[in-house]
Amino acid sequence: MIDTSVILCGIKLKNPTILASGILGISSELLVNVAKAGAGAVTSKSCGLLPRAGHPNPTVLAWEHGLINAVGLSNPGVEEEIKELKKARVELGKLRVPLIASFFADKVDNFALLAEKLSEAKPDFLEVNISCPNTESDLGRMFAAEAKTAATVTRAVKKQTKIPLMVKLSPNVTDIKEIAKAVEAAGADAISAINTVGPGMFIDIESGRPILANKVGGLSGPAIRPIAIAKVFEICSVVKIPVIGIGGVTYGKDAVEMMMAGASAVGVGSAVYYRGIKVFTKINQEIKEFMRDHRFQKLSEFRGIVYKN
Amino acid sequence: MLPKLVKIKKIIKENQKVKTFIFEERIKAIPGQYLMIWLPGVGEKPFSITNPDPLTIIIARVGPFSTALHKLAPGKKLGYRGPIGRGFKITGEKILLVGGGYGVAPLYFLAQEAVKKKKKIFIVLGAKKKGELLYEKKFKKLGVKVFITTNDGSCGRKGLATDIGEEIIKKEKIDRVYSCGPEKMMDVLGKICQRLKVPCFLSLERFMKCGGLGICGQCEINGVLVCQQGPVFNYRFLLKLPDFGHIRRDQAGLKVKL
Repeated sequence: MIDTSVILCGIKLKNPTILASGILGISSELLVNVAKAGAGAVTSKSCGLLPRAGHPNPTVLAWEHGLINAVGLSNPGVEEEIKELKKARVELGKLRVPLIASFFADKVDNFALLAEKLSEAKPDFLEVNISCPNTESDLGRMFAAEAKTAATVTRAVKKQTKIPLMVKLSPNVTDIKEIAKAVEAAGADAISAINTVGPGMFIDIESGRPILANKVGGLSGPAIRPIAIAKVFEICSVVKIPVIGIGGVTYGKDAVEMMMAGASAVGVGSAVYYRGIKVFTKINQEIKEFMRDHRFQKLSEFRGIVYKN
Repeated sequence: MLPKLVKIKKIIKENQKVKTFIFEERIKAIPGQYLMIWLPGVGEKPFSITNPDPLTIIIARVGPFSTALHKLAPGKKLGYRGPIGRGFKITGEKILLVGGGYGVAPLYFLAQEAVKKKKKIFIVLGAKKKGELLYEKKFKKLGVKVFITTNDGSCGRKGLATDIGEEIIKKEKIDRVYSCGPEKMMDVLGKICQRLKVPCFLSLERFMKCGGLGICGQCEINGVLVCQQGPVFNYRFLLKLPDFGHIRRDQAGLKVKL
């Protein structure tokens, strides 16, 4: 019997596909729809303390090899978010699909405050987003840029909550291993990696203007998969905590590759654009087909296999 | 799909608030589908297709973006992405269109296609007052039977588009209703059609962030994505969505009353 379930920080996921933050996770109904479409877990869109409109349009573009976005962390603020998460929690509980609540802030104290507030909604995990590449102008430099600041946020958040904590890292750094080790030492229960790559930029050559209103944005989708695989590989070589591999996972083979690099589970985001909401069921099915063809029974039989070969 | 820039060929002032933009471009589309219209350096918003060949859209001046669009002159370029979304399926033989205000935008395209299919077509054009009525002559030219209604009685019958719509459905034995306009009006129309057992299809409008790619979720109504599952819906389906007719999301994602 082929089993694709995963235990993450003591919590069971039916399969390793996780809805990545920022995709569809804006309402309880959409989170539930994604769960019904086969996701092993779902992540809500990152929320902050106050309502935030984000950047003007255009905010997302599809290009030949992926997507680019500068949404700018639009969100309805933590008070609304708590209501939405509580509703989602009830329905997701029935489906046995864990909920990951993502959040961001501009300073360490606010990260801690948000962790405390969001814990009220009793999500299965918290994900602290310290790696948005599109908000430097008003939120300041991302906390994921350095080991020290990443660890400071991790410690502050851990103090406020007993809920398992994932820390989402950025690929746009000099040495992701140092940062991964630092957040592990600071108490992170898991690492999710990577956030979008870049920033990148598209210029319309007819008008000579940047297309994104924010001028630059983070790259995602198939184009960044090799970068994501390499970063996950690097992180898994230095930490013991589980890693959620995110970046360009579109097909089952991509998920297998990510787990071979050491990931315990995979984030799926841009693939919703390429294959629709059913992409979760499809990827899981494709993983199972791979396992059947290669006589694997459990994901652990090939997780991190690249280190052994 | 990155935005494609196309030149504005002609701009027609329809009334104080509304202009028709005709582009040097032809596209293939289904009535009810929309485009993301981009004004470089200013913004991007969804607009219904009024005619695919030459590409034509109706722009009502309602906020800063449409105000900027209204300042443009022929020869300037706008970008577009699309066509996007599920449009109207033209079925039935005697069809009624109900257009509230600038909601006539997708209905003109629909009427053109329905004429080609030799359907018998009626339209109710509703507006607050005479100066806001749109496309009356254009619909008549297509051979559509036009009924006018204004809230203040300054043109046509005084009252609501839905009242006259109900009369036409009964009198003419209408077998399909298509509408675009204020959501509250469409909700009332849907209820009438439900009662009279006539299938009714409505085109909705929501704030869209990701440009109709179906990934941001900003346009959702109770988990349904207007950008891709719509913008045209069967009223019977909308009945299952408690927020239809009542709630939309703003740019931050906060729910606000319609």
